[in-house]
This record gives sequence, C-alpha cells and structure tokens, in this order.
Amino acid sequence: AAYAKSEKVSADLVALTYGSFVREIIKDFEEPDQVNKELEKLGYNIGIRLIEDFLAKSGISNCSSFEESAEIISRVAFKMFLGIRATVSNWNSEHNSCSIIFDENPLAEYVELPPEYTHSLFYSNLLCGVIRGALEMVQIIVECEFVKDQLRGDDTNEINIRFKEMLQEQVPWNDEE
Amino acid sequence: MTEVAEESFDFLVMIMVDYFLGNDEKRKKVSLKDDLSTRRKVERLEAIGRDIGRRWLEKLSEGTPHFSTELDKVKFICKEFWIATFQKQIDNLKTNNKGTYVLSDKRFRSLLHVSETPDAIGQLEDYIIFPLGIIKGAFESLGMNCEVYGDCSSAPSCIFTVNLKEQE
Repeated sequence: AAYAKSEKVSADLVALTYGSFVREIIKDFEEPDQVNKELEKLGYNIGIRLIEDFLAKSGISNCSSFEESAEIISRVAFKMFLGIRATVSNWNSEHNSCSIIFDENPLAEYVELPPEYTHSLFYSNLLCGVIRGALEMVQIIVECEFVKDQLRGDDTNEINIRFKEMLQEQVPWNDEE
Repeated sequence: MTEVAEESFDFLVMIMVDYFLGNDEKRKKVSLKDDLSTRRKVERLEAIGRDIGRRWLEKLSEGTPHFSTELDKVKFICKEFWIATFQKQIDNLKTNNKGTYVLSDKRFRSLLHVSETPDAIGQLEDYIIFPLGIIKGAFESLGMNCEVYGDCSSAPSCIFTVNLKEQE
C-alpha cells in the first residue's frame, strides 16, 4: 500500500541510466574489485539519505531488531523502491545472518556482462550499499554482499546480510547542567 | 512495462551528480564555469545524459509512425518523451519558425526537490546538466542536431531554448 503513494518511472529508463553509470565507473576504476567497492560506496550514500524518505512514506517507526529490519527491507522496501518482490531466508542458527532473495532485478534488465567481468563484477552492488547505509541510520551495523547474481548465470539474486552490532543512541550533552 | 518509484530514479541521478561533479562541499567552493577541469566534468555528465537520451528516445518511439515534419518531432518530445522522462508534458511551446524552439515546464522534475532546499540555490544549474544532456540526446536521436540551454532562474520552473543547427 505504501508503494502506491509515489509516482512511477519506467524501469527501462532506470536500467538505461544505471547501465551508463556503471560503464563510466568501470572506465574510471577498471579493476572489478574496485568497481564493486565504488558501487557499494555510492549505494551507501543513497542509503543514508533514503532511510528518512522510507520511514516517512511507509509509516514504519524505527526498526528495533535486525530480524525485523531484514523482513521490512525485503517485504516493504524492495517493493516500494524497485517494485519487486523479495523474500528473506537462509537464517543461520545464531540469527545474525540472512539472505534477501529476489528474482527480478530492474537494474540489470537487458544487461550482458563482458566475459572478463562475469565472475568478478557485482553489477548491482549498489544495492548492498543502500541496505548498509539505510540500516546504519537506524543504529544497525551490517555487512552485505551478493552471493548469487543472475548476470553470472545463477538461478536468482541473493544478497547476504550479516549483522555486526547495534549502536547506542548518543544522548546529546546538556550544557546547562 | 515494469515501473519503479520515482524516488529511486531521483536518488540514482543525485548520486551521479555527486560522482561526476564532486559532492556538495567541493562544489560550493568552485564556481562551475571558472575551472577547466570542472568544465570537463560537466561535459562528461552531459555526454552521459546525451547517450541515455538518444537510446531512451529510440525505445520510446519504437512503433510510432514516421514523423512527417520537424514540428511533429518536437511535439513528440514535448509530450510523449517528456511524460516518460519527467512525468508531465511541456506546458508551453513556442517557435520562431527559424529553428529555435522554446519549451517551458512550470514544474521541472529535476528541480523540484532541489528548489525546496534553500542551501541548494546556486547549485540548481548542477542538477540541470544531466537532464539537458538527455533532452539534447532525444533531439539528436530524431536527426535534429541542436544546442539546448536551460534557464532555471525561477525554479522549479525551467525554460529550455533549443537551437537547431543547420543540417550539413
């Protein structure tokens, strides 16, 4: 329902724009590892700004736990921002690591990676950064990485999220006391 | 056609502007027109816009009948292309019939969020480089080589002047 509130843009235009952007980043960094890192960093810069918009539009109050947040990311955020269905699975026994799995990826439509990048580039690594940045703003520190990518011939797309720690909200100093 | 939230596109474009022009802090220090390396950055961002605009227009015009006149082409850009790219059509189109077209958009998408933030005044031009490229690419895709200028002095309203070049 939250998703219905925002205006829509054609996924084609987004895919076209993202593709051109990735191509430029490849020109600048060349090394696939460096490109992955840069994409993650750019995503992080989106994530830290996007969270406010997301909380306002979805009406979700602060995410209190890692588990709850993972559910919200997959069920609400992926739907709201990318218009796609995603599910959470592969929880480990400690419940500090899980995967977000999605079959459709609007960023990667019509994309074919050149052979030299097929096994080294994570084309949509931006998404990992978005998740990390957004969660950091609600005090949850995580690491994210792609473990499956259809552009590599995998059957689906899978982002693994590992929980690191919860930050404490800092109480601001009161000068008058 | 699958669709994504417009915010996603906005965030993507915002991060591209940061990537190619440097972040806000850096941009405040240098006025864009002064510096040669900055001019190169601007040109690069515009070139990417043109490339996207060219391919995007090709996609949009698939299956539309051949345009018989120049005006038909311009109208296609003002309506179908503008809606698909900026969510609304051009509010007003004028021409001197000598190859200059003036397109005005009272609420230009790329300026909506920026013009609400007082800090961003003076940087409005940064946010118009990429869309100007897209628009130029769209015209080129229809075989109309041109220069496109944008006046965003009364943002979020924006007035585009398109000067067609003589066909060689």
